[in-house]
Amino acid sequence: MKKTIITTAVLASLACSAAYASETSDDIAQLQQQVNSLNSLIANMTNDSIHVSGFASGAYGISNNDAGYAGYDSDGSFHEDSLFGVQATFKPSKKLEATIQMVAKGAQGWTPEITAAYLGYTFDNDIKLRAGKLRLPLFMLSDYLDLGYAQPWARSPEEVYGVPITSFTGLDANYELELDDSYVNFQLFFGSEEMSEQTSAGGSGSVDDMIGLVTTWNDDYWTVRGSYTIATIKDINFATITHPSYPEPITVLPNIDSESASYASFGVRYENENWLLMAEATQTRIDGYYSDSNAGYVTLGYHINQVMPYVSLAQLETVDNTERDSLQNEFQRGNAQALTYERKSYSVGARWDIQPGLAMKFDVTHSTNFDGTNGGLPVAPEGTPQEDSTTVFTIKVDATF
Amino acid sequence: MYKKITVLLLGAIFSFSALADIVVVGNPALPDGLTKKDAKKIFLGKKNKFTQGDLYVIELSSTNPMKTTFHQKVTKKSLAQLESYWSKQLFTGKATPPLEVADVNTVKATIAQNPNGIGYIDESDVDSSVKILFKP
Repeated sequence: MKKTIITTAVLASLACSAAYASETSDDIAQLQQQVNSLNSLIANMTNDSIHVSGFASGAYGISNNDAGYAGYDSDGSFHEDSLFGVQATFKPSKKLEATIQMVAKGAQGWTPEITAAYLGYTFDNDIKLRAGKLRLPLFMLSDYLDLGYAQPWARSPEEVYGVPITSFTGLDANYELELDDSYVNFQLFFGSEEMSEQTSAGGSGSVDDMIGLVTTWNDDYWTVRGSYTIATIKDINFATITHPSYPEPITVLPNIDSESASYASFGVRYENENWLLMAEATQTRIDGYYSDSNAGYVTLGYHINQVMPYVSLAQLETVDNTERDSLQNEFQRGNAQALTYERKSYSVGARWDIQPGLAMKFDVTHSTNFDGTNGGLPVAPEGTPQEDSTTVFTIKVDATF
Repeated sequence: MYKKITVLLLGAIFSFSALADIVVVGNPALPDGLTKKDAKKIFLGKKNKFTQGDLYVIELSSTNPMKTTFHQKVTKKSLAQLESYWSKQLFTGKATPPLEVADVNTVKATIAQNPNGIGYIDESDVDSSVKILFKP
């Protein structure tokens, strides 16, 4: 992409000088020569071994109340969905590559975080092995969650993608099988990750012994993807406070020593010249009192020239509510009720493709049907009533370069 | 000033001629027998039966209207869909997008210098430096 820019710039300057040059055949011959040498220069820039590229999103969102959906409140914010990412890929040979990706998010004070850093090697049998820090492919969009440009919405469905970890450290193996007019891709991965960000319930710890398999089939229009991951959640420690009813300091929720977890996802995407359909269903299971949930979304869009209006429905629901009722400690049992939640979100929006690599999005999301829970949103401060619905308005620009 | 206008007019004529027949061309050293399916896969950077991925694909930049026409015919993707596709491939580490050049002459020059070079140009621009592999 950089080369195109250089070429265009040089050609443009040549064109300008052509416009001002006197029309003698000498000048034209000289120009022709310049163009020829430029062409061969470009031709020799082949087998480029370094590829630098990036993506960025700038967004403003505001909510009708302070429920905190997607991090927004009634004051509005430019931070929550704004980010800047860069990626550099070095290819010393056809088989070996090294990639580093960094993303700075407005929601995290623009502190750059390394989201991928790996060495990749492609064997003669086309199996590609990668080792290092990789994107965690738990669900259909997880691989490119920060890449707003490649997504139809202003924001990927929070109900599925509000997960605390997005990368892991370990290795994966990729193999793609070419069928007649479609492909099947297998990705097997192993690894672990510290949860640097806190979980939604406020604890921090690690996800260990992750093993996952992703299978994706795709042809010109369809993508069908299934994945299953198992992991062990370890050493989740919660904040300790002193409570008048208890003689000893107490954690707000029972610390988790080690619990088994699983993540399953089934997703479908269809896109032709006019229509876009995306749907995904996911299941998160964690042994013990921590939330088990089912989530999913369905999105339908229609391309009208450069604009694609869309409608979307997403839902999230915990399915192990009785497990939390059996907690021994009354204070912790009370707090654990925040881990029981449900909600449905309805979105209407549009994506406007301004030019290749640049899109603008408008979105209104109304989230409701909390059924007396906090809807999986932050617990309201003492003395403030828990909202039972919320509406977030978002305007966003996504670019890739 | 008049010369500037001439340059602009020439530009307009060149882009108009881009609406004629587009052909997939490659270095004369490449084998024959490129199918439509192969062409589609090659220009999306996918595995294909024509070669084992040794091709050097030359793409036109988005400012060139031929790109839109070619992809409508061959990959069935709009420029925005194509850009979205490549950004996904790139940032998930699956593939890097092909080299982009601004005009047909650079496509030909690059193909001529690379035994695995493949690109697309207008049929009227075909000369001995390249050979026609496929007519969409």
